[in-house]
Amino acid sequence: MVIQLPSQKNNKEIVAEDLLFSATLLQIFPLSRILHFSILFLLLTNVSICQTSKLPDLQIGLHYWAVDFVDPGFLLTADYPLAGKQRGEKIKYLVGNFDIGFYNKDRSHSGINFSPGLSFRSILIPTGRFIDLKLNLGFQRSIYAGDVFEVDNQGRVFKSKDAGQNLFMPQVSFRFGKDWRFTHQKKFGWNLGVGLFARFLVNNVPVPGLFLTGGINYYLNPNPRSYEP
Amino acid sequence: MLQCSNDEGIVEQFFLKNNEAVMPVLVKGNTASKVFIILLHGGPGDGAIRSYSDPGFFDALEERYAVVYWDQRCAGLSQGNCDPSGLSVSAYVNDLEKLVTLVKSHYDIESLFLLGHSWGGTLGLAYLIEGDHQSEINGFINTDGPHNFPLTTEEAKRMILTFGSNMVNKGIETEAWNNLMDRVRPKDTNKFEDVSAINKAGYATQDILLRMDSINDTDLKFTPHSLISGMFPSLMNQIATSSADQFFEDFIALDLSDSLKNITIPVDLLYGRFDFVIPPAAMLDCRDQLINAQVRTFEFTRSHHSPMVHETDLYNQKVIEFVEENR
Repeated sequence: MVIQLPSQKNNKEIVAEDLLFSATLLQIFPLSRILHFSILFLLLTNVSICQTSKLPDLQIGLHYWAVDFVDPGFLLTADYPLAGKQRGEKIKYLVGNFDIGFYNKDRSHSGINFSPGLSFRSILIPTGRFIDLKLNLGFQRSIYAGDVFEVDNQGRVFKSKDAGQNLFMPQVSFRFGKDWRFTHQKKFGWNLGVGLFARFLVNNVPVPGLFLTGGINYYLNPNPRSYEP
Repeated sequence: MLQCSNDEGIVEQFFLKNNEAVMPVLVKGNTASKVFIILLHGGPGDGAIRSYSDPGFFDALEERYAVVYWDQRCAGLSQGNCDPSGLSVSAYVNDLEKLVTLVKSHYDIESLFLLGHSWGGTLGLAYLIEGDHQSEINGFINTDGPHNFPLTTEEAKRMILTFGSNMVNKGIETEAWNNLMDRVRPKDTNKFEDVSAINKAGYATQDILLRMDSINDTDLKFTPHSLISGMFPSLMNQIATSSADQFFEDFIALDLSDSLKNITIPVDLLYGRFDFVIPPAAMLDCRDQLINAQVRTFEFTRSHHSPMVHETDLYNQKVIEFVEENR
């Protein structure tokens, strides 16, 4: 089966759409510096890539990240297919990804995560539906949910410089969703996911956690990359 | 420092860092009263914020006073790099000493009380017998906290066997009591594994006593967010603490009896009549050892090991009485 490609847009149109989309995101999250810089980073990447003649099949996602189901957070994701193979109506991909995440665990800590990873994705061409198993090796900077104080042996109280911990935070998640490029010729899609992580080490033990994700994806290239059957 | 004020009073949170542990401290209630109560939670390895503050056991205390909820090292929501293998009574005492200094430096405090539950009661006693710590504290409320663990284990075994026999003779919950008695009868109160088994049997009596309607039900009233959000951190801290074999070996041999005569501040001993974990006899022995302190005892007649859970209103009333007498 041959993928039916959507109508081609020129690079100027795509850059204009991308700028508008990124600017909208910045308006939605004006207070989040992390997201701000992340979007700027992706915007610049986006523009520079679009200025080249061949658009990569890069996917950018913005997701709600429900850590331990009840703690609020968000994930900014970038996915890029490294390899793929078409078999019948399916394309199987090996996808490289990089996630930037933030969540807040009430009365405990906030976490800022940087997680490179790989995922194994299978997409059904006629429907655009996909499933995805994702493995990430993450770094987390946790920030304690309040000022930290120390008391020396003379009984003097002082504010500690220790505001958080640097942790290793691997994750595994399962996602499913839809790529609307295959069915609607739109550069968007959605996905939902569930996952498991562990934070190494807090009090010398790994602390596991569960999460749910849900969000939208934006594809730089309106045309899914085709692979030889 | 995070601070907010709502209908329930002031809520502030900060952290105490000491010897690699980063321990959350939640101050709730009426700070304007200038009367503060530091809660010493049970365990070791439980937590004050989730297990005592979130269920609202001390809401009545918070209306009148400020309650300081402190999650101890390697416990509750505490973080950092606390090494469970380094746990010791003296490490906990050192943390408490620094917590008292920190809280006193942050607030205008006229009266400071310690309220210990179970292991927290032991920690409070260990703190008070050391140095000049008593000069910092107006009074100590010890709820089902053992001072002499070997005696406590003996009494727990004796209570299960004696009470169980009585119930069997009366034909009440015969099978359940026989099972429990069979479990504890062969246990050696000097062996770590056996002490742990007796302790577990003591907790297991709670279900039987509930069926017998001897104690009030236990409604922990966790909010879903509290239950789920803190589940993994608290659970892993509990696992970390329980891995501290040397600490627990020392703990089951801990006997503070000889030092209790040094305590001179007022002490309130509160205990459940049906506490098979820290039996009333162990608490009454504690009273007898506190020869230089003004001691008040009160038995909660429908309680197991946690009267603040089983008889919340009466418990708070008793604490308020003690605080008002000694503030």
